[in-house]
Amino acid sequence: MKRYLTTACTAIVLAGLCCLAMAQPQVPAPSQVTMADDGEDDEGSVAVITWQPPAETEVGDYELAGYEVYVRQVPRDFEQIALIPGAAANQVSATGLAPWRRYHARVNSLYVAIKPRTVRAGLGQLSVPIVRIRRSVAAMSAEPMSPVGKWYEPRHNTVLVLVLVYSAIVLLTIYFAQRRDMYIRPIAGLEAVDEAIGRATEMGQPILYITGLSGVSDIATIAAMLILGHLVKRTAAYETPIIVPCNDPIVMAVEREIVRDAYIEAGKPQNYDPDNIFYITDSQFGYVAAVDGIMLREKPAANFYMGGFYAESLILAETGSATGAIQIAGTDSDTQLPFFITACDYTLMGEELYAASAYLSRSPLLLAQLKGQDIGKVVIIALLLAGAAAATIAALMPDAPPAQVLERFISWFTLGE
Amino acid sequence: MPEAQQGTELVFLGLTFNPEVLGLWLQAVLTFAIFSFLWGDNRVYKFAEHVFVGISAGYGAVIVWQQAVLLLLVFKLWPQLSAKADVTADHWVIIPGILGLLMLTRFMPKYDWLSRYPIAFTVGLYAGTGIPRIVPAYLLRQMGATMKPLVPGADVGWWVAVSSLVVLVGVICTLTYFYFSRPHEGALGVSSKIGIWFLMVAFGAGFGNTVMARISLLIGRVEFLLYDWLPVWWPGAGL
Repeated sequence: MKRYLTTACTAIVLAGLCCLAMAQPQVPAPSQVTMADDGEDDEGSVAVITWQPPAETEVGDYELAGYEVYVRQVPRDFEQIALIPGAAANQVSATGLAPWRRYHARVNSLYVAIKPRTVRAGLGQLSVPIVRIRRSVAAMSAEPMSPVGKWYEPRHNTVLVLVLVYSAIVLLTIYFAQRRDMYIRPIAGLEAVDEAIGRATEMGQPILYITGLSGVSDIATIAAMLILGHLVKRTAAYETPIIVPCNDPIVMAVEREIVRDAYIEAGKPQNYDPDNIFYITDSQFGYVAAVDGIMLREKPAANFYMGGFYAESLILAETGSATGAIQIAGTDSDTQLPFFITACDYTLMGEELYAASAYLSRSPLLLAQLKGQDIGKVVIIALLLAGAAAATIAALMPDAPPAQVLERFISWFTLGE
Repeated sequence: MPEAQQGTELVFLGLTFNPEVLGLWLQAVLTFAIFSFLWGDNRVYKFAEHVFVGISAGYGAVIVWQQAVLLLLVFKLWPQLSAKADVTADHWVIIPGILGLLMLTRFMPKYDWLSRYPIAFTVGLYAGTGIPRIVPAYLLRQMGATMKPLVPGADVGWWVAVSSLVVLVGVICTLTYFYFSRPHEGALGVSSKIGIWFLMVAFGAGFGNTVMARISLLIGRVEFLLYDWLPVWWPGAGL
């Protein structure tokens, strides 16, 4: 009997507590939740979420403290993107969105008890404050929206202008170059290419050609592949094999095409062996270990390192040096150039690598491009001098009206940053 | 393959192994095998090299299959195949999917010309998207950073002005070194010589900086051998 009485009393107490909880007034939710593109010239990854804060900032002994903002890409679940403090807050930017996809926003208001309760806990009976929070029902944006990706970014006007001017210079030099011979200064690393080919041919050993680890997206890799084509044309007549281990399958595919075309152009298509251009692995040091093994076992007479390189540069160049091969390197990776300069016989630095294709082929078209690049450098030097003069005048006379014009001139180059 | 697994220990051919200890030994043996290259090319190094290359190639293949083929192509076309509920269909991926499949035509000599399309697309895409990325980063911002006041003023101290002058002279002289279409004689010759000095000073600083980073890698390996592996077989080493 006593047991039944205890159970009944417990049930009554629990029911009473539930009724008490249900009797508490619901805290108001924000209204008019909208989600819209931010209107900025971006790639469509940002949207602005706005809402109308609830009119009642205090409900009972609770006050409005902030908002929880959720976003979902239809039909996925909502994910919280922000916790905004402040009763008056009514806007937040959602970033990292995918352009043209449909999104919904959801906002909850958060009310915090004005007087926090405290409980006594622990051996010392410490008073621990408990923050009581009440969350409103969710207010959702009515219609899904899609952030808009822009086709043109005005912030990059400077880039467009410079590319157009530079292209015009190169096209004009190509036009004028057809009427006269063009001079190109000697580049020691490229003068030595014939020496390297001759040495490999005399010794009956292959040439090892490495195009770096940067992948096909890197300009240095593209330059390296062009040099490979010229090198193959020169070696084709001597039937000196070129081994090209790759760490990128796309680079390997492009190099096979280039080498095959080079053999055909040299009139020796029968000498093309696709097995000499092969993929090893895309792991940086796995690739290096394999190439080191090739150097030690195949004993190439000449090693070429052309393209973008990282930490593997010294390991490759040092191993090649130990085998006694003549080594020619070329890279625009400024952090790796010191290692190549130390361990290789010849090194093409930075733009010398890009100039190599024109130098080796002596093609009027490529030489004209090189001339165009040189004119571009003169323009850059002139702009640098003008910019430095402008900055100096602006620093000496900060209040003079020309100073603002000069500062605007400089900010044009820094894209207004 | 282990015959049975008991708790944290592996039993293989009647012998009991602690996987952690086994892993430490494996790492140490492979480290010594790679270091044996200092003595010269040998079979132990060859073995370690082949293990390394094989594992990295296999691991790379698995990553490509899991992260690219399945996640970015198969599950986007057939979301029901994914174990995750929130994967949504995206049929646009069929375009890169077809381009990727065209690469496989390289195995068919009759149709291997088709593989030139994805190659052309990839090279063209990277070259095109590279311009708006590279021009501001490698050209414009560098130019902007070089255009600084060359004399001290209200907000510019002596040291800043001198530094700006050195940077400007260094940049201009280095640019003249890369001028190819004229002989490096006279003023151009002097300027390019100064430029190569600037380059060599920068390379020297870079060399020292990178060598220090490499030595820290060696220290990491030696620390592993001394503090992780050595106490396993020589508990009294006290290192």
